[in-house]
Amino acid sequence: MTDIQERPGTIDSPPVSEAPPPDRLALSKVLGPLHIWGLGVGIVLVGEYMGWNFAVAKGGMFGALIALLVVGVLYTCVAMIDSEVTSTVAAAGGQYTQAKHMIGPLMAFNVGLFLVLEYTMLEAADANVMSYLATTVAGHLGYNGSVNQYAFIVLAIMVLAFLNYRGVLATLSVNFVITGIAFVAIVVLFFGIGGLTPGSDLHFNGLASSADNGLPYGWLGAFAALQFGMWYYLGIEGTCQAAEECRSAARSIPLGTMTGMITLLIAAILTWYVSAGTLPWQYLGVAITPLFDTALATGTKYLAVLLALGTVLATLASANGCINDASRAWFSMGRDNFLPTWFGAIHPRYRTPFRAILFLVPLAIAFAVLPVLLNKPELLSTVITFSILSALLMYSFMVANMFRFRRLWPIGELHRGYTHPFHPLPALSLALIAALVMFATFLGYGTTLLTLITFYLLASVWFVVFRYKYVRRGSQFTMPWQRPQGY
Amino acid sequence: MIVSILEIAAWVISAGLGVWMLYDAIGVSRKYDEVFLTTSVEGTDDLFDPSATPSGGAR
Repeated sequence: MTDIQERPGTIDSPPVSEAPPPDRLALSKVLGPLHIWGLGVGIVLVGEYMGWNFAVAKGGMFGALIALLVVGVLYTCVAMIDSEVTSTVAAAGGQYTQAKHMIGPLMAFNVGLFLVLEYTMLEAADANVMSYLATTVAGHLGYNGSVNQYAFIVLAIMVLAFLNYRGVLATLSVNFVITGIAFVAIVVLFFGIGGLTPGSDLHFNGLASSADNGLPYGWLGAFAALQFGMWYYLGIEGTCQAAEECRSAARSIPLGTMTGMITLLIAAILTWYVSAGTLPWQYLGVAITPLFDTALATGTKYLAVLLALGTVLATLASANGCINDASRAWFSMGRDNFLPTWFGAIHPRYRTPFRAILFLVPLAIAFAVLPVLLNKPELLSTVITFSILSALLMYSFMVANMFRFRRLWPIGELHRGYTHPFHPLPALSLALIAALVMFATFLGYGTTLLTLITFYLLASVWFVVFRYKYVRRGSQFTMPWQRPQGY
Repeated sequence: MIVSILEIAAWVISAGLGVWMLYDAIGVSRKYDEVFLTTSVEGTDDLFDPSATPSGGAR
């Protein structure tokens, strides 16, 4: 469905690297690899502070470790594929834009929706957790009354939306700093708890002595744990959304994404290690703030304060990055007329997609307050599962995307900032592990998965029947690319 | 008492930021032509410098 013939400037056209003319607005090209690292790791790191430990409830300590490693392979593949494709498709919208170029408009529309839902749901969950943290902090300070959670949910989202509205450089600089502090807090906990000398404060005897401790529900439990293993890394692919705002996407995206993935692998292993050696698996599996609880268990005050700070900062960084990414995806779809063009506007002063940012604010607030409003805290896990499943659907697309990319523009035919090794092994591994995790999630959240797929099907029908006629097939392709193989 | 003040402060700050963003967005939409606000096209990069040699690491 991709109409290559209508792309203006794709054949024998001069490369376009100069600044846009003054009569044309563009997103600011101000980001470097550190910002990309801050965006990718910032979205994810909250998963180390909370959430990953639900894998322990499903599969025990070793189940969580297996999930960490298996899902770690999945995301390493995601990072490699994204680094190659996005270092070439340097456009806001990330995987949405890739789908538009590689497969066609219907896939692009769906991938765009996957992205918006993934990040908006995650942002809503982050804001909800922020309100929980506010309540917890008030409790630790001796306050016994009830705290109005709505106030802090709305505050968190509005402050971060304001930051995003005013400019991407400040937004992602803040993300880099607070994410860095949250990561350092995990490293300090590792050393502070005696990570180099297990046996002093860390005890692994329980894990080694009996399978009941390590794998309490056997291999089935380890399989079920896969869905929560996603928490260790979910969102690293969000680095792609900033491609259009990088000074050099060809350099910044691969550097930021790959170093981000390495950071997350280190953080995940340290997190599992200190928690598994400190807390019993029965407690860890249901804890809300496992790393903070680990720090509390050491009895060292400075570690407890540091990890409390890390929890708050990681949550803020995640919500901040999610606003950035969801708005870029929404903006890109508006720019191509996949949604009303009104959303494709850029602020002439701040150079941000201001309407997309504003439009998604009430949506995030609605999903964040829903568990509180209905007095059903378990709805939070449903909101998060929406995010995880949308991401999994997108990873399935990435497999086809990678094969198409290499076939249409083989190596040597198109400049790449990074070329990932061992193709097609990463794409095939991604397909296999994503299918496994999808099935594991289906076992736990089958109804949610079916609901979500129904939603995407209905949205696709809406797009085909009511929206596609407005899509300008030629003008949406402005990359100065050469003609693909076979066209 | 302190928590109540913080809650009120949270509402006031949230409302202030929301109103400011809405005010600014409406102002921009009225001041600038809609066609101008939506003139951006998907990104380009220095990767496409004609003098650049084909790149790519390990394959």
